[in-house]
Amino acid sequence: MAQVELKNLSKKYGKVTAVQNMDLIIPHNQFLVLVGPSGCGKSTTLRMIAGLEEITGGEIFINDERVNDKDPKDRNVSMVFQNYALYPHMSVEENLGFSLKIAKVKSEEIEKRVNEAVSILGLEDLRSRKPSQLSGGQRQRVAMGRAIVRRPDAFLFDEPLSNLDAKLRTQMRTEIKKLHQKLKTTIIYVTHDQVEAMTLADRIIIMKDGYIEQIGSPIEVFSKPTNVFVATFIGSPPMNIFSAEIINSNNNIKIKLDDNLYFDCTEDQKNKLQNKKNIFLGIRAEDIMPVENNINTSFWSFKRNVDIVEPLGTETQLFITINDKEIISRMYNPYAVNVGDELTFQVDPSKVHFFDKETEKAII
Amino acid sequence: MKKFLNGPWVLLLPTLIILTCVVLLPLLISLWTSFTPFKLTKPDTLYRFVGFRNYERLIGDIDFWIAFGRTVLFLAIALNLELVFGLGIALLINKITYGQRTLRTLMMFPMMFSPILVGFQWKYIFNDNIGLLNNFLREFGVIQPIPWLVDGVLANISIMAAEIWSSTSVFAILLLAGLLGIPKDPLEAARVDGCNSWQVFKNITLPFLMPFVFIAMTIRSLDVARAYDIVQMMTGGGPAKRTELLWTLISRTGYVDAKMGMANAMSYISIFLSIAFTFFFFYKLMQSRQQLSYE
Repeated sequence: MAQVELKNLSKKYGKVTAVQNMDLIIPHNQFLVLVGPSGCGKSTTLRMIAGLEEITGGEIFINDERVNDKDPKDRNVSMVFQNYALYPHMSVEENLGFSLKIAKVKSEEIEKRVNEAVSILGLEDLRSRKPSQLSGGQRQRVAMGRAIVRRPDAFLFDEPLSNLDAKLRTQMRTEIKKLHQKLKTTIIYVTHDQVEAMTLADRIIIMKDGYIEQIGSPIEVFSKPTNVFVATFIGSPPMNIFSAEIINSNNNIKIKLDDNLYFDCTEDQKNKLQNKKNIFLGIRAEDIMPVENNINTSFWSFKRNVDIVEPLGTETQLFITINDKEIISRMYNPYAVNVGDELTFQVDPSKVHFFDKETEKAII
Repeated sequence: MKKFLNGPWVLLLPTLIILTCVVLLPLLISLWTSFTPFKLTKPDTLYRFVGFRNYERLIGDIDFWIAFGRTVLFLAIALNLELVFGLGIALLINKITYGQRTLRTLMMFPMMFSPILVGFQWKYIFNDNIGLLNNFLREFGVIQPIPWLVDGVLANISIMAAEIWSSTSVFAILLLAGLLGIPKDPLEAARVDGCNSWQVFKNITLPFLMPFVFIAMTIRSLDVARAYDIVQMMTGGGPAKRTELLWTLISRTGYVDAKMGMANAMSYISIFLSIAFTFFFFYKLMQSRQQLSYE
């Protein structure tokens, strides 16, 4: 049971700011994912919560108790590290029981909790092995087990899956999700992988250069990105971003993508855009659909020659060019397309995102 | 014969020849002399075989066994103190973020002096009349000069101080290398797992350091077991054999008394001491490495 609260939290290394005035409340039992590119301050934030990094400014509360000056050992959080951080000279069992031994828990209780963790994580056959005799996935499981046995107030995960191969990563992702459902504890999870963030999180925080760019549920940050950075960071392939011009003549607003590509906008878009001149336009690859016939007249449509074809099985990604910019379109239920073929593409205007050209913030 | 010349033996031959000349022959010759009453002043005694007479005499020679025992004691105390001091220095330097390299270099200064000079310098420091230490103590009202190099116990302590001063940095350097090589993650994991600094050190840092401790122990045990220069300079094994170690005794027997046969017999017995220590520390080294699963 724990609520973790960050108040105006900052971290500076000399003149470099790693985390800037972060305010956040993580309620009990929430699976929170901090995601962002390398150096955005996400790991630093996590390490400050763990107590491994000194706080430059602001406060951290765990269960309404200020922990700024508390040692890591007194915070009752457990952490799973990217490189597993197992104790190489101890067996799996000793690794799991170490924290309890240090806390002088009775040996029957240690045994009970270790058995529990072993059965949750399926480590039965590995109990007496040393970490060097384990595979990457097994090591990561031991690392999680070590966190579980302590029954902490909160779990901190620092990019736990980034050293695993793709298949194992997917598998462990599911296991972590199951674990959260079983344990019902607060989890703060750091990753740079947006797929991990989307699949695991109750709530996502997208960070960049020490600032929070957006907080929201996975669906929110995907469908309503608040700025260009979030729009291009969440989703794969990244959202297509175009430079566009608003042409306002006689109260008829058109969006100009290119010298011979003008589109009308919907009524409520008109209100948003009438005072703008230059904007960024964002369209997700799946919203640029190649069509053969039954063209929807209320949709934007244009013809382009295909530059590159990338078949992925369930879908094919088509690369086209608009105004010298490479654009990706996703074709579901794919049929054979050759490089150079001219196709008609359609865009549902209601799926288009608009961003201010200067601030790069979403125009609402 | 043809097969022999084509085999791997041919490739090994240069090594075998060199080893024979450099190691095997001197060993055999010295082993032979330990079975003769060879005196440097009477070369023809080299050819008189007396069997185990030298060894038999040594077994009953109380002076030899006292020197032997003193060497073992000297070794045990000096090595342990050097370990403690070296570890302390290494841990402190490891904490420093600025100027670490400079300190590392400074720390190695004692190793740059010849042991003869170290002995000479410390002899001067401990001199009961004009020595620095007694002069210093006099300032604090210790009027009666302390006979540092004359009293049996004090003389041994003084020699040990010189030995420790000149060689603690070996431990410090090796242990510092070990400390720098410890991965950070397990240390942090232990802190989050509830360890205080002492528990982190005892449970995580120390197991990681043990291989380095045993490497340093092996090197230094060989060094100390052949300790000669510092002792020779400071006390010459005296007064009245109170600081006699194996090698001062052996060198006196061989070169002063010219009884080379007897000296070689002593050497062969004392070599077992070095072999025993080396074996012990290597065994511990292997064990500690296996603990960390390096193998």
